[in-house]
Amino acid sequence: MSETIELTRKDFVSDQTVRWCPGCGDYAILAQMQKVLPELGIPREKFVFISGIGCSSRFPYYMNTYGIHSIHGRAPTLATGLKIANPNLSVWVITGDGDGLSIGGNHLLHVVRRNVDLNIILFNNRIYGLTKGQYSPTSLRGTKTKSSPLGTVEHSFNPTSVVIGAEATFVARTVDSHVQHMAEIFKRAAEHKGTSFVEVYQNCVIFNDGTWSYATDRNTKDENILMLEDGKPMIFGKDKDKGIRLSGYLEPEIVSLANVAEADLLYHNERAPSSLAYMLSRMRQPDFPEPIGVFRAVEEPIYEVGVMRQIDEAIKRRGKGDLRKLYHAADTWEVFPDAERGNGHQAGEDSPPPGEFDEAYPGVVFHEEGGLTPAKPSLLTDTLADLDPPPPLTAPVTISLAEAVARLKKSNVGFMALLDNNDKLVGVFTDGDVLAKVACQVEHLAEEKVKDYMTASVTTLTGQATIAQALHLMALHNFRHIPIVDSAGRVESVISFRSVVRYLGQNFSAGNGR
Amino acid sequence: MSLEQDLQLEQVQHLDLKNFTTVEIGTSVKKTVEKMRVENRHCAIIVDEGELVGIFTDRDILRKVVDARETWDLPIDDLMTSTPLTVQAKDRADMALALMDFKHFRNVPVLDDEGKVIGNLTHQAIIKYLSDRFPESVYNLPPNPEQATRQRIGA
Repeated sequence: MSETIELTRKDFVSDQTVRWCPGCGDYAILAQMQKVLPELGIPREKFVFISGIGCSSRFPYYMNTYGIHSIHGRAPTLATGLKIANPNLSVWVITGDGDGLSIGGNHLLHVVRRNVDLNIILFNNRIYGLTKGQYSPTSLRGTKTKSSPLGTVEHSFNPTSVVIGAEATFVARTVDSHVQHMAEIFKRAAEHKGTSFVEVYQNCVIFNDGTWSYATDRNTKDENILMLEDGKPMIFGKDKDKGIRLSGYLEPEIVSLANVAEADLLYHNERAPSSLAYMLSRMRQPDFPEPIGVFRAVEEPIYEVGVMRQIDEAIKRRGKGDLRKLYHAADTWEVFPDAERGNGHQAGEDSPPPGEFDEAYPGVVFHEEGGLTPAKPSLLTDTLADLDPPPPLTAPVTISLAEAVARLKKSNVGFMALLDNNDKLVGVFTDGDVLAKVACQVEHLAEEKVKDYMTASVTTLTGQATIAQALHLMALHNFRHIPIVDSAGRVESVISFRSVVRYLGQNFSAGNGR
Repeated sequence: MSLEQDLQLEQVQHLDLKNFTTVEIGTSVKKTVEKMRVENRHCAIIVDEGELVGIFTDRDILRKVVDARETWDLPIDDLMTSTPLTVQAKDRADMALALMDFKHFRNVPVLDDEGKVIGNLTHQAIIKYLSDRFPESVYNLPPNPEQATRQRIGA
């Protein structure tokens, strides 16, 4: 048995600069993926991320795993081949509404139909973002874009309906701003044996901002979203006062829980015939709340398992093949190079000279100047230094566990920064560590060293980091304290969630926040 | 609408109050700590036949338990904070936040009309509430600040 290494979020963060627009929903998806993967118990070298073309398809660069940025729409094809070559890999296909449903629509259908054991995450922003705002297969009828200036005249694809039509064995939907829900769905997708398809409602801040606002706005989302829970009645609304019932025509209808008993509502069943999942996928705004969660999860034979079994049986019956023999079996012919036949066509002769792509489309790139939308200045510009955070309790990393506990108690705090000889931060010791590793487990604290109980992999920020960044780490990873370090890795201060909450409560109004 | 006004209109029950575990009175300190650890909760709500009688938090563990072996087998009633201050499900969120700030509480049990515990109000719940209001600013950020791109980048 090889030793298992405990992975953290940081192990999955690559060193690449993330080239998505500020405020893009892709960031939230990336953060959740990096949070979920360490929890799966799979070694890092077994993960492969395969994408096609599009903004979402830059995803593999930002994951510190194996990855392929492949051909437009063909990520499922490469992923299928890879799974047959090495069925032990955890393969993730990252695609968008254009890449997955237009250019690669055919490939998506067939990977789903075959039930290859991989996970497909489709970022749906209902627009072509990378090519600057043309309508996509999921753009709603009437959407005005650069390629449909009078509005589209056609009906749009509904990704969950499409894959349910191809009899997908796992179909789910989540929303970029519902981060906890997204993490749960990614985990379920990873655990499913067979093709897992997850649609993520993802906001394109530049070309299609607010397309999902009914599902993301805090004030309205509870009324517009139906959280699917297996075995539970379909109840929604901020006060959980509405439900979904089947009408006599096998159509869903919204009822008030004031008039209808819970037992008469429609109950969700992930293993029901796909007609239930299909019906759920057809529920759309504004007539119905849109379901999020797992629509369907069933076990069916897996493609690569069947293929491998066939190969094994064939080898048993006929012995191992001989490639050389196959080459020389029959019907061979020679091919001469073009030049020798006097037909010297130079590749690329007729193609236009290389040039800046953007110059061909002057004036259509952005309507606004500058990198950030003016809408949200303060969270994104106020820095942690502005909070004037206090210095943390510090101690040498060499002290005993008993000493560390005593110092936390004496200072009445729950966070301590541990420093090496050069005052560099090497770990933190918190009340969370006490609960997780020490309390009622270690009897003789004086005989133990704090360095064996601290958290060594510390996420830090600099004073120049924005308050949004601290809030991001606290909201996504449940950090209660974040050490602030200088460029030499020396700890200057510590941000606590209390100080962030206080700052927001006192200085922040929705007017300058949105 | 300012954030302050928004918190005034919000009811405590609409925040994320799941960060707690429930323990029956008489349970040993050791069992309580174990349950908190396994469920990854920083606060245990102590109940007697469903009624709230006290709370026990990670702060109590640090102050009273971790370096005092003799406490581990005591019933949790001996170390818990008895009859803690509570808020009602329909109380205004801003009042609850003010109470937490003023008293330096990190956990406040939330009760419904019949006095049953329905949750635990923490700073984490407020962080989540605030983050949900500004998803683009908070959730949509690069893994590390220096990995951000300041400019929008097209094809």
